[in-house]
Amino acid sequence: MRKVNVIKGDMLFQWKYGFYMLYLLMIIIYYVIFSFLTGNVKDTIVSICVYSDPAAMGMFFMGALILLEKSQRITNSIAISPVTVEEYILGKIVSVGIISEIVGVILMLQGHTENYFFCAIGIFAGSVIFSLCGIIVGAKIESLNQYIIGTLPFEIMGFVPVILYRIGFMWDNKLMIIHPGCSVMRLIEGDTEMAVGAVASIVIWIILLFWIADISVRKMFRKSGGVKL
Amino acid sequence: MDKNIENVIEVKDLYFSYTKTPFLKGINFTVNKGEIFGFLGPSGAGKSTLQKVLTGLCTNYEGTARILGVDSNKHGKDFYEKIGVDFEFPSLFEKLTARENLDYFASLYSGETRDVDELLKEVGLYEHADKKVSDFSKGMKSRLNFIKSLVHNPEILFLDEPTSGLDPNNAKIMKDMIMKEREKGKTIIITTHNMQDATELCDRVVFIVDGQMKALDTPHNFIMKRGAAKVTYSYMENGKEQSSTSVLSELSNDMLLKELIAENRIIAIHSAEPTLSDIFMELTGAQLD
Repeated sequence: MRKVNVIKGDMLFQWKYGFYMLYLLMIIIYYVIFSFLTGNVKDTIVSICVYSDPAAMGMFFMGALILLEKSQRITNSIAISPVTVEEYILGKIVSVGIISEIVGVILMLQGHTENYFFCAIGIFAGSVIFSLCGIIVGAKIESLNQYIIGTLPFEIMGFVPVILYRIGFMWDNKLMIIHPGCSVMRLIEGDTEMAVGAVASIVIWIILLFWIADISVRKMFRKSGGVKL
Repeated sequence: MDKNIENVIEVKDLYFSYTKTPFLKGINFTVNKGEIFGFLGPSGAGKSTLQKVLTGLCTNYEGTARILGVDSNKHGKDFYEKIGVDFEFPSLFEKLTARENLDYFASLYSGETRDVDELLKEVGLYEHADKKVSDFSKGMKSRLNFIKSLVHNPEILFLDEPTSGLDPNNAKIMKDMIMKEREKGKTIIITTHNMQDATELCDRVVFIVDGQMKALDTPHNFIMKRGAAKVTYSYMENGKEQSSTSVLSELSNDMLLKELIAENRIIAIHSAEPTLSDIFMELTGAQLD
């Protein structure tokens, strides 16, 4: 029950801070842009936008979320509550994942996917991966500037190869699904043929990132105790 | 956790350090159930660190720090169901209302929680329950933060500088609330450098300076042991105001005072005891901020 309450609390926090209004605004802007596009170009742009914005929203917003919590000393209260590090991380990735999923599917209605089920899984998985990256960086930083610098390598690694991949670069190379972003893109495209490999790659990456995020958040909570690790 | 433990907190030969140099050195004390126990000392003395060790936030210590029979560095999830911590600075969601904050934090605990409306009424915030915390004054935030630490009905309360930065009226409200919780049987640990608060609230206090315990006793015993109460009186002599001081216990031997009383020449008379602050400085050589 506590897990659900943590997720609900995170969603309430995001609602109060206007995150949902930002998502709504984003949908409107994208729909206006998409209305000027047609054919394959539109499909490619929509797929890239679904990957790069809703799916990656976790990383963009995670820094803001954690910094807001830190500035209000909420992390101190969480550190001395029964909420575990795993529950804290889960609250963040699920709450952001839900809204990313909704926005991603709405945007995808403007594009093309072979399989909406895989597409939905891809959007959620992308959100989780980028949220975990955001948590890893967010747990260590104290300012927005630090966050922007800290997430830069993740953004370059997360976006550039995947955008190139989607526009055709090494699209036929099956090894590319080792990159979690390429696997997410395969799922967004609804590629049933490579779905198993893509899902396996994503699961491994999520486990690895969750483990690192767990260590980072544990250190952040310890810092509430004044210990520098 | 054993509910019948009399010593709800047991600290033995406790050492802790942030660096290679020990910060807390050889701390020993026990706290009984239902007691208000104070950590007193200047800023940087180690009081808050000691509280963080006890609340399980600093875990790499040496020695024993046992809360309700559980080592604070080996606690499980239910450890925080039994303790409440009120930090010196409010830790609240500013954009959420008072009620939303309390409801959220209450939802994190698995045990029975206290009635949020009742808590709000107790601290005079019921009328402001649906106001955003960002619109609250400092005193209101402190009161809300205090009841946030009570919402899961903990057995032990840790209060860090509970009256810090509060005006006298709000400080009085806070102290009354602390006494109320004690009456309900809670064990309360207060970290403060405010000697007045410690004298008024604490059953026992420990003086901490440079990470070491310097003395432990009741405020009353400290005062009684360290200095006798004195009487100072003023009188007129050759048209000028004069004053003299006598120890209270030897007042009957003060012939001048007797003479002045007989002649109705006393202008003013005051009795004074040494304060806990005086005794702290005398015992530790340190000055409070």
